[in-house]
Amino acid sequence: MKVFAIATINQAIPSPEVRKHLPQEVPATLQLYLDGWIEQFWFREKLGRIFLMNVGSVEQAERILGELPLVVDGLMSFELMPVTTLSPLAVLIQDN
Amino acid sequence: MKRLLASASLALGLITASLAHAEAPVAPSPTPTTRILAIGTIVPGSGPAQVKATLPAEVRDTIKLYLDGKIDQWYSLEGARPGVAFILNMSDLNAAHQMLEQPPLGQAHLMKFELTPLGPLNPLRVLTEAPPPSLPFH
Repeated sequence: MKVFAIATINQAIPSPEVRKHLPQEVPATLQLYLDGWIEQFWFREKLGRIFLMNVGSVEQAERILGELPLVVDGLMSFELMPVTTLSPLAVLIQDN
Repeated sequence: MKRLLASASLALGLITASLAHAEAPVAPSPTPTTRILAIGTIVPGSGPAQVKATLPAEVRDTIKLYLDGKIDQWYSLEGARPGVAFILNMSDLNAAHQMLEQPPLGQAHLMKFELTPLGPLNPLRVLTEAPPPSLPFH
């Protein structure tokens, strides 16, 4: 299944603290892509990352993202939004 | 003498400017907007019958936006919130808002879109270069 993962940085944490984690966070993120869990990734200026993940369940996405250094240290959390095929398109073939 | 004073003043100005530059924070590399995430949810209180009646026209209009190259990817939301998620091939939030308000559900105020500008994954820079002091991560 596909899940959008929308990151939220804990705004109470100063930027230097977040930047200190980047040397670990970025390779860990890239590894999730190489492993096939993250299908696509984007960045929102000043807000953080958005992933489109390929996972078995929302719980699995939560577990995988929960191992990212920024999440482990409580500096970042993810809102998970499961999505599926655009089901309303079915109206185009209902009469066939 | 005047020329000497002018030169000294110019030199002082240059030194001051260069010091100011050295102390100024390095501007973070901006992330260009290359796509827009549009999350559309049915407005609470909308009648299911009204939404269903609008659906065929809504689908046709949505397909037109795809065929016009405006919608890059499209998904239905799963779970409690009925709605859609589009990745738009656009970078102008205002233009995207106007475009998404045109289909029937938008015109009838049955669906509300939340737009988020997206860009390349900027933190990947740390793998290719020394991180600048103010690399934006949030």
